[in-house]
Amino acid sequence: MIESATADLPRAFDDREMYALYQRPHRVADLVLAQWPRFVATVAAGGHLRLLVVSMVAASVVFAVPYGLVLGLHAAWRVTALFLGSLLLCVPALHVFGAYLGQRRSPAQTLAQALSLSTVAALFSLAFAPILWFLAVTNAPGAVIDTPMLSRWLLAVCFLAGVGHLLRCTWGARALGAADLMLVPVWLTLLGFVTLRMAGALGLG
Amino acid sequence: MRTALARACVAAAVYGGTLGAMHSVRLAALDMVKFPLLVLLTGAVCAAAFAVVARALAPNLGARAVGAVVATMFGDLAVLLASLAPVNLFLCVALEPAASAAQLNDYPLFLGLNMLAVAVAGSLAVARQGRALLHRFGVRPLRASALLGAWLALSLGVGGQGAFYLRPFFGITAVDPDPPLFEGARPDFRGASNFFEVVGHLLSPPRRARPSRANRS
Repeated sequence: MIESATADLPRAFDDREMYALYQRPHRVADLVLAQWPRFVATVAAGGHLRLLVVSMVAASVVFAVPYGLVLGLHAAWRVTALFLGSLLLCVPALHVFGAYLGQRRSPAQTLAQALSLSTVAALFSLAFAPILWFLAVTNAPGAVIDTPMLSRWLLAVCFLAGVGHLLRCTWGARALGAADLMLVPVWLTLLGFVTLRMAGALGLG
Repeated sequence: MRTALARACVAAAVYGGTLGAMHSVRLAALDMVKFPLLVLLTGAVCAAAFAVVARALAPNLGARAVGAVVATMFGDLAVLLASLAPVNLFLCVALEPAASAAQLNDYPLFLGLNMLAVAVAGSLAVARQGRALLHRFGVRPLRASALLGAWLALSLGVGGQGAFYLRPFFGITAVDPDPPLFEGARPDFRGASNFFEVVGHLLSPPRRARPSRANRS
């Protein structure tokens, strides 16, 4: 578990708020994005991690589908694979290197922290889906700046939004050691590289 | 919010009518429909993105507040532009319209002044909503700036592409006496197929193709 420096963190989500996710699973976006200090406190406290992780994985999958559908029926799953798939490939490294550098955190806590990136990226892709659709419909077929290029820019913004949110959650946690300050930026470099290669493999890059 | 949207549509129609007045009554009438449509389309397409960006940067702004701020912002822009409608109509009479594609006379000036008006009115509308975010909703200055900047970037991208698709708003009677309802994705005179290529061509004009040896006399 994260050390007692979490004593001055905002209040973690209580049982009632977490169980409400069963009835309104889409609210996980609100919990992760808008109420991120309490999300950080919840992860630090270690309570309801299974529910949180399952909700965030579901959000990362479902929110990314509409954007993929705009690219084509065959691409419905690709944005999910891009953000969530790349993240899941890199999470083991985050946990193991963190443990090596002295972080005392369970795998579920590491996973919950990392999933905030894919959840926010998927949420932004959901918000950008109508914009991509509009640009695709109004763009000429033979344009130099074509729809796939515009899509790459939008996906990059989604990814950067997720990165910014993860950094905000990490550096806002106040339980910072050298591991937190150094590890996450380095890990994000790895994740960025993997995501770029994944985009190429999926035909999104 | 509905009142703000209705006000925006009426004001946008008033201003839109003056854009095409230098060309013809027909284009002016078309612009009275197209300009409000452009405003509504931009707001509708960007609505989800506006809300999510606001959730990320200003969590205390609920969905209704975001809608109210954005609708007021577009409304302010339209009203500010509508206030310039009498000036625009005067310029349509006082400025010399283009005689041909080679002899543009005051047409570029008319075009430039309207672009400037949109830029100034847009900046004022954004600044006013920035103050509202600070005082009414307690959003911190840096966050408010970032939020408004993001909303502006989204509106410019989508609105710019919408304007490209719905063009022409202006026109030269001598060159095109009977413009279509909208050009759609048809490339412009420089070959740009969308708003982003237009911007690219403004920053780096495309080179004209040299005539081949076979074509030289």
